[in-house]
Amino acid sequence: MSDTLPGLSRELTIQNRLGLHARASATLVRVATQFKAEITLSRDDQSVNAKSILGMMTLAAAQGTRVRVTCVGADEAAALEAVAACINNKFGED
Amino acid sequence: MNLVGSITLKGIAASPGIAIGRAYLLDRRRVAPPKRHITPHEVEAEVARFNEAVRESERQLREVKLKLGAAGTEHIQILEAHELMLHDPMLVDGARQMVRDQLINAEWALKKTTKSVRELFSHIQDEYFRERRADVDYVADRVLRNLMGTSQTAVTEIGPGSVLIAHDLSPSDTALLQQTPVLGLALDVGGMTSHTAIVARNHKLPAVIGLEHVSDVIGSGDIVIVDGSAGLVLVNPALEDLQRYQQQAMRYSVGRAALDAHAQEPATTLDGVHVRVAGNIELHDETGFVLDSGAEGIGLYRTEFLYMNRDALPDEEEQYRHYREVVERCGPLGATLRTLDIGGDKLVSHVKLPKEANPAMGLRALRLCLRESSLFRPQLRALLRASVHGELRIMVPFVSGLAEVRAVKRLLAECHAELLAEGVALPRLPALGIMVELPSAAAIADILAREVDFFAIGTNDLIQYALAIDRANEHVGYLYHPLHPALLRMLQFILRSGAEAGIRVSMCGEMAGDPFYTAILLGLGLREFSMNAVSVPVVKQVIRSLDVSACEALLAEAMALPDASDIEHLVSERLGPMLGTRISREVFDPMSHRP
Repeated sequence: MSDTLPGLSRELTIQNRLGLHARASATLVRVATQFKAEITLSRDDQSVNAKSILGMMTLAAAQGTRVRVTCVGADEAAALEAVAACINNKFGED
Repeated sequence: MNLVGSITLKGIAASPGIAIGRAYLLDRRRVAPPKRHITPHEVEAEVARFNEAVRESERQLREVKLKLGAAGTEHIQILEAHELMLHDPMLVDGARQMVRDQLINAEWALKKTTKSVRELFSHIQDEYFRERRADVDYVADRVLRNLMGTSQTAVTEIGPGSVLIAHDLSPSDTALLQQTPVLGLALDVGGMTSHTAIVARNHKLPAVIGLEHVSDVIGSGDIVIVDGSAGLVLVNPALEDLQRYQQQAMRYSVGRAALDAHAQEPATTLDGVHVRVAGNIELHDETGFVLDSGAEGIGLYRTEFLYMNRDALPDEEEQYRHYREVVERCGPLGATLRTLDIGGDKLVSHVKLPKEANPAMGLRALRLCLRESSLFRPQLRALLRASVHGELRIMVPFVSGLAEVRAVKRLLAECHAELLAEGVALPRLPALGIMVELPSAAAIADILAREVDFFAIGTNDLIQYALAIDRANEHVGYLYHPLHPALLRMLQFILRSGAEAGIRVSMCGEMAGDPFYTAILLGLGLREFSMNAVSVPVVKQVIRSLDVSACEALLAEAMALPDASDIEHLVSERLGPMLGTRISREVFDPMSHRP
């Protein structure tokens, strides 16, 4: 569980078949914008704002891509859980 | 305002007919934004102006969504992504910040931000993600126009008597096109199978696409002739051209109206032979239009179009809904659904295909489906489930031999058993047929005929593979001859094999919809045709004007000739007298791609 880890950050795998395409990105943005915390998705040396649909699409994250989610702010714990659930539920697809 | 003198542009003939009217330029992309520096005390007003433009853009997108209603689910998903982009920190917050930091006006700031976002996309390897930069453009352009007060013209605002000229049409434009009084259409981009081309044909809007520069050279108000049969656009034509086209347009519409009036009547030859003329469709919602054009059912539903131009593959449920709607609308006339035909020249962005040196002969169509059962099974299940609701026939493309047919049968039986186990009531298996479009399948038509319920001859591929001709290749295109003796012999063997086995044989390639070939095909014994909706009334009338015994005599003469050009010559000489005055040249000629 994340609260046993130092810092609010977790590594996840994009599991849905189409990866972070437009609709999946839109779903994630809708989740992320419900929180005050700053939420970042990182892949290799690239980091993007999870509240930006354009940012997420520039990650070009296909199925199987490992991404690190980092949340910073008052509601960071809830934000991380929500984002992780969204990614692990394959954005409600497949 | 006339920007140019009289000029003629050549493009792709996407939808036949002639439209003459005033150009209405739907300039979607090229807006030159004013650029100016602002003073620090102008900043807040500039930001407020920008925010207002964003709000206005949101309002417009919501309106388009409402107009689309339930019919445009796929379009709506695109529009929803666009709505989110209107709040995007990179794009919108970025532009606001630039107004403050660099003291520049909002238009300039937006232009600069768009450019940097576009750049990020340009470096992406994956084509799907890279092409999202077009969405960035659509959204930024909308805001830009609202900023400049040149509010984005909606296609629904176009007045009567207009010919629509544009670089490209957005998905929302195309969806709204049918609600406008536009006479015709000319676009810079597009191909025969683009969604816009299909929509234009369905609504009988003459259209020329792939013109490259039409939106640059035409200004709103110019007089334009769109000749959708020849693929020509005349801008500010000379008086004699205008008069000639006016007469031609009149004769075309009179001839066309006469044909359309009889469209629903059966196609029975002078000597009383009934011929079935069915329609081809790409999307389920074309069914009504095709049936209204006089088609007796659907002879070819190219299901792969359901998989194109979208983010996610359609699941079993969505496919089932589409297929069910088509068979229900066709009633006892029935519908033939072709399973996924992708690869080769037809690509679906989310189906990853290996890079091949020779994709035309590579992993495509049935070959791909048999390898990727995760792709094929949901489609077969959806087809089986839909078959309960009407006369559904399943057809598989690109069959090269018996093993493939048997593999499909096994898979179909497995899916059938699976569904029965799940409690789905499936009283019987639907008819299973194959496309005969490879020379190998044609050569063993007698063997295949004993294994399947019907044949559909796909002439486009059969000609291409039999003659080893890529018709689009300008260096060898002159060798493309549907009446090549080799082809006629193949067609004859396929039709005879079908008749001997007692199975139905239809033809659904372009040759079937071209009235130039109707007599020869009747002579060969073809009694089922399937074609695009616009061709249906024409070919039906040609059939009604012919006598099967005369067609058989014509064929016998043709089969005795040694060369394609001799046969073409023979047909063009005989056809006129055979048809007499029963069909008008103005309609026949534009539909016929005679050599």
